Amino acid sequence: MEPNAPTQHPGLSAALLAAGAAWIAAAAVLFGSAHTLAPVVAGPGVTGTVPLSTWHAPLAETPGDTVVYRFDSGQEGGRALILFGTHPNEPASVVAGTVFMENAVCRAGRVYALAHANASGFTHGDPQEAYLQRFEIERPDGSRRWFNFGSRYTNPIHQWPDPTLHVNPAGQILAGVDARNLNRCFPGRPDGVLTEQVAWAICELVRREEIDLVVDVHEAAPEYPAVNVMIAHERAQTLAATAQILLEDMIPGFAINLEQSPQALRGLSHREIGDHTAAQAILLESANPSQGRLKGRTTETQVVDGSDPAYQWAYQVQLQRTASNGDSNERPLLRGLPYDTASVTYPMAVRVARHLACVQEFIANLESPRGPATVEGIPSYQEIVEQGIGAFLAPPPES
Amino acid sequence: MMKVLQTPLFALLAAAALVLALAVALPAQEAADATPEADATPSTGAIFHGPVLVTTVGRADGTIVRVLCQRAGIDATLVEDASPESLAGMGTLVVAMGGSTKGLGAAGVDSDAEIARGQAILAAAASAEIPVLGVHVGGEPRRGELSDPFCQVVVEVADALVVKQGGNLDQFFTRAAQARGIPLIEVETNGAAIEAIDGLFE
Repeated sequence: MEPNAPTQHPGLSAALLAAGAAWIAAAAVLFGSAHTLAPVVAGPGVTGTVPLSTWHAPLAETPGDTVVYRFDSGQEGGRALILFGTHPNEPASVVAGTVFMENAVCRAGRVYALAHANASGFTHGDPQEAYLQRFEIERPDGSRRWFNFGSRYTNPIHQWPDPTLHVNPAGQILAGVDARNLNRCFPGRPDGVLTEQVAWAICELVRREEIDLVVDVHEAAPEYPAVNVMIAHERAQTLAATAQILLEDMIPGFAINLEQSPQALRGLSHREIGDHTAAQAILLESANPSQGRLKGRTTETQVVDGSDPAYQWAYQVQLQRTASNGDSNERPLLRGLPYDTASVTYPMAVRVARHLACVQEFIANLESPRGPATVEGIPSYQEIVEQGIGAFLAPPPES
Repeated sequence: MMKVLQTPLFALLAAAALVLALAVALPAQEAADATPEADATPSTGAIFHGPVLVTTVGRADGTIVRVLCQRAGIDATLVEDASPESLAGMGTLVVAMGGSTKGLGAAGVDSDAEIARGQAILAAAASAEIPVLGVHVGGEPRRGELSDPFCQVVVEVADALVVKQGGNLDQFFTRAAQARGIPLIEVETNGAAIEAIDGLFE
């Protein structure tokens, strides 16, 4: 044997190879599991489910197709479409949607709802954000329901490549990545890229089913100016204002502002659905720390409890800066406050409760030529905040 | 001496002196009580009349204010970008104060131009002797760097202010109302805002 020849350890090499193969296999399984969407249990009010491709056949058997839940009272009345999960990195939306599907019962009129409006977006995360793949919410009996934590954008595996610039169907030039942003692709194109076809299918649903009201449920970074707001198309302003006035008086401490849908900002649901269909369109925003630029490491505590040491630190810095400036007029940087000003948290229970309270009030005050729409069974704001989201989720389907 | 004190003339003079003293002393006491924390609403009787033009300075909360007026039984029309011509036939100009996070830059509306528009219609209202009611319902989020310049334009000329809780934490509206001697009604709820607006109209 040569003095400098490498020592042969065939057993060790085989073990390392096996460990590597096992690691790769486990990673592949984990990665592949992202393509499984969290279960949504059809509650007592769901009278049927159909694929979104019902309204745009080319979408069938594509990653953009998604389940549409139908709540039909059998009585003539107003019709609403509720979009949850348009941006899959805004988790209170899909959780609110799941609570809605599993509890709402329509007594007059008809409601359609999507839990995963951009289904493809739930199958991956945003690069460099280190998002969770999924998170869980505990039920009172200790069982747990899981939810996907996705991306703002359609999965590039399903729609590739991005153009350098995206000219959306409304003609506005945006960043290339926005070709995969469902809420920049309205009113959609029947022969466009996948995300545009999803938007087209949603608009077709609205037109063919003669929907009166569309609500699109979102979240935004706590430091973003437009959080805790409803953004309404001009034809939906009176409905939104009425709901805002009633909500703020009905729920102690509830505050939400009404913004108008800018006519110059194109591709968004509140603008394009309002312009291209007969429906009134409203978008909701709550404060989501896991989406913010000031956030720390993404954890389940951050997502579900809405607690983030980085935001707490930022709030303290803000207080100190305000004190040192002696400027009592300086306004808070963290617009999501006050959910819990003392601890600077944005609990998902509060965010979900806000969304569902708004949806309930929009439907209750909807004026349709067909008559009113009535939906019961949605847990109230107080019930969700006091009992937690888990109290209104069905048992995990696998159990 | 006792006889002098018992004469009707003396009693009459004494009563007159007492009335005079009270007339001088009471306003002085009221002035001494007028601290910054004191209520800035010396008179909140009916000082406005319909029909009402609702507009905004800052493109925010116009619809909410219009609905509040209508719920108060007032004939109100909202013109978001009202001009002086919009005042024709109107009895009162109601202005929603505060900057919109979506209705300005995102809508292609320049803040300076919006302030100029607001000043123009407020000046036109003054020329036409149409009273102005300023309403702020957006709370804390409708204050600060974006909103305060719009609010300032309105409080400088309004004849009364209705402000919802949260929008006056720094007493901005209280100071403005006191400085100009106009009524300020601060309310906690939208229901209270409807009552306040109702009470201000004939």
